[in-house]
Amino acid sequence: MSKPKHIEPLLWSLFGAGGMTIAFFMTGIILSLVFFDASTLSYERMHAFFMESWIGRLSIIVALVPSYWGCIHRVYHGMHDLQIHAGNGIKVLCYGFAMVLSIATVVVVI
Amino acid sequence: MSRRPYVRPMPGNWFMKHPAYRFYMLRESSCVFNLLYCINLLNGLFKLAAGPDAWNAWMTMQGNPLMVVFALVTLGLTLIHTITFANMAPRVAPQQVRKAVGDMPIRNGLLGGVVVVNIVIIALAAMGGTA
Repeated sequence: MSKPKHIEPLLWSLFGAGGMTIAFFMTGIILSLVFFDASTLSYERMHAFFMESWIGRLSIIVALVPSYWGCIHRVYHGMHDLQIHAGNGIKVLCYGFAMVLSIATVVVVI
Repeated sequence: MSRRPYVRPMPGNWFMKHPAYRFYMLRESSCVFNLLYCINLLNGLFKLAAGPDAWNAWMTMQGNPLMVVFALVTLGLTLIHTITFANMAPRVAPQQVRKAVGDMPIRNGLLGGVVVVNIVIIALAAMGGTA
């Protein structure tokens, strides 16, 4: 029998990274969007940062992509706590969704 | 699945029976809110790519009272996540590092980093037309 390949360590490390990115970035982002309107967060400035500068594009990818994986990992495992014992189909659906969100994020800023 | 694991019957509201379980479920609920908020941010990126009108409409939506309530609930849960994340950081850090520096410097160092990064984000956001 060939040695099975395990994906769980990779998913676990993405979950760890997601916990980190949520902690490091989300408070500031949420507070900024609650307190500042479009006159401060103007289209020109936001577009220049998140769509044109490398630092802005990289920042938003680093902030969002691990966060998707971390949250979805926790949603998937949290279902168990809510007595939903999901099978492989739901697992593929969950992580597939994280993959779709990740690709969309990278594509939209590049 | 070929195997049929035994699932011990549990009452559906098991987590309401003990304060620690209630707090666990409260903290874990943050992942749902954070995921939805991240999807909101991704939507914002698409609007930013689509042009000024789409971006301004998205920014107006962020000011909608329902959206503000959602953002504030997400913020509260994010803070719970952040503090519990820092509290458990010494236990997931490399144990040689933990032995060398101790638990509190790891926890406080992480929280300090979080505070600095978030102040930078808010300061950059506040810069208005000067950036």
